[in-house]
Amino acid sequence: MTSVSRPSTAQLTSTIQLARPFLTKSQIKHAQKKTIENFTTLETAMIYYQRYFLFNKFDTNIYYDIAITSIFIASKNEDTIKKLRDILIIANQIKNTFLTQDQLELYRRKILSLESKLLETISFDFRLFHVEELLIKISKTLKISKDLGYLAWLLAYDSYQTELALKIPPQSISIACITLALKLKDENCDQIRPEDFHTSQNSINEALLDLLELYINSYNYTNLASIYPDYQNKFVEIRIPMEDINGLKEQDVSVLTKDDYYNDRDFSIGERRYMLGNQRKRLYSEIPKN
Amino acid sequence: MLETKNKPAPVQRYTKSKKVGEGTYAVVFLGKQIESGRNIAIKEIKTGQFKDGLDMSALREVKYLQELRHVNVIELVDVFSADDNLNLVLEFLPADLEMIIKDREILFSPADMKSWLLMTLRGVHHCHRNYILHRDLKPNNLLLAPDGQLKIADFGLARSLGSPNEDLTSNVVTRWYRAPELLFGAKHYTEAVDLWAVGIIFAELMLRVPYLPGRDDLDQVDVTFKALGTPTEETWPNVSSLPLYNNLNFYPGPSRQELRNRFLAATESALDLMNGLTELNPANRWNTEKALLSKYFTDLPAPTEPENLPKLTKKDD
Ligand SMILES: Nc1ncnc2c1ncn2[C@@H]1O[C@H](COP(=O)(O)OP(=O)(O)OP(=O)(O)O)[C@@H](O)[C@H]1O
Ligand SMILES: [Mg+2]
Repeated sequence: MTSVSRPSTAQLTSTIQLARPFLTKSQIKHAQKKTIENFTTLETAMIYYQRYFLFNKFDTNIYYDIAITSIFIASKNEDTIKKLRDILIIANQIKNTFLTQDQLELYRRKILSLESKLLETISFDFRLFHVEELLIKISKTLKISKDLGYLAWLLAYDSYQTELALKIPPQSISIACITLALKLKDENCDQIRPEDFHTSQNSINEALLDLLELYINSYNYTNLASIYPDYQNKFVEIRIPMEDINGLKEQDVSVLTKDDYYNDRDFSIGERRYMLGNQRKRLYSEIPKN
Repeated sequence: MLETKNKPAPVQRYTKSKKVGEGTYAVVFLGKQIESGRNIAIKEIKTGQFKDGLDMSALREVKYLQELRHVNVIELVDVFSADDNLNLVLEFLPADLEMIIKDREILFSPADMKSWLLMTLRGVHHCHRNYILHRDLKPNNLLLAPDGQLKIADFGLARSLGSPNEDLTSNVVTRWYRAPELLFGAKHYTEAVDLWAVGIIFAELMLRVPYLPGRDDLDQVDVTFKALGTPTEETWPNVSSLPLYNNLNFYPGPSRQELRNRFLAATESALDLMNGLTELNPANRWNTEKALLSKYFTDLPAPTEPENLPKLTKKDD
């Protein structure tokens, strides 16, 4: 789909736009109020997007539509609902395509049918996981300073660019972000005890390793880089002494191939039943040890 | 629902027979779980081109009922999709509290009322301790099982208690059961809105007619405060900063004696509980724990066992 619209004739400048090299925290927040109404909706959308392509073939013709569908469902689940039509109008503006009213309606129907496919793919599982909600609570519990908390919060937002939300519960990711923020500022992080937060050192490590990989290999694509452009080397430094740290154990491939969960989803079977699964023993025990 | 390792749960089969009801977003059918013979209700979610895909109420119902399990909360047995339709399999609950209240042939005793109120509060307590607000409690959404158990149903307006900086809509709860903070258009409210509704339901059980039947939203404000007094800055600090706190008639609150006259059969401990639940200032309103531990429930008579509660006399076949 490449219907690029013709740019219009340039107009004489009538306003002045300053470029500010740095912004304060509250300036950023203030600016984002207009652009990102709700981070949590966006995060949930990112998870749905990733889940969709766990079970459906990735295809460059469809990924944009899946992104729209993900945002649409997330906006329902996060109680920030928008009319699909309005989402589509914005989506088309971003893509620079123009649709007539009829085309827009056809497109709307297409997204509605993708909605049911996506809902089935996520098995009608509307449980929400937000790293930053817990992050703030955990930071307070650990008496982390506001500045460090803010740094950890930036890392948390970037974590959605990794597959972490698919594999690790939010409290482990939160603690990994706090740990990493402390390390970035050369502060001690020994006071964090995973058992206090219903998690294990291994799952925190798993999150730490993935985050480090993101920042070491794709720094320029992260949110953090746009605010702190020169932390990349620091991440490399942090990673070096972590050579023999263990993340989570992976299952043997032979077990995976026997697990029905990964079978191709057949959306043509007459009735498809959905229920919530609770497999999480690998991450932490739900029963306290003492 | 625990998942045994890598083995999916067995596929359940259902029959679907006659239609038993219809709501705004769903049609409800009677059915049976074939293996167990258990009666169930199948709620088929309507989809249509005019709707914007999956209805928010359906989504909320699935989301909250999938995770709640309590004797006094309706059980969502299964979720499945068939021919592009989403179906919710619920336990079959043939009656609701509104039908009982309206059935003039049924007499109920103070012990019966205590039992229904106890079950309601237990169900609400379970929702609240899981940080879920129901936001539409009314007799018609309190369903009754054949064994007499009361079950909170209709989670189409439920939501989880959000973070403090999130705005909530005050356009929730059916008018007659709407708490004063909602009448004033508050964007931040708490579990207390559900407890208000329980208090009004309690009053309705005693009176056998709706307690605060406002004709429209404006009238609701007047009816509510005429019965319970208009809140002021003294009784409820900062109330005047709520969006719709204006053009009010100022009524004094009812005296204890007036309440005794209004609820002739009520004991003193029943009145205490009702006052706690219908406290105008949400910060002072009783929570489920305080209500459940109140003297009313330990005073005699003991609440009726669910299986001995009055049943509907008129059975539509
Ligand atoms: N679990 C159930 N068992 C038996 N009958 C049920 C059950 N759930 C719903 N019903 C019947 O189906 C009707 C429709 O229910 P539904 O919850 O869809 O809508 P409603 O609550 O009546 O209306 P609204 O959609 O306006 O809230 C109910 O009035 C009731 O008669
Ligand atoms: Mg209803």
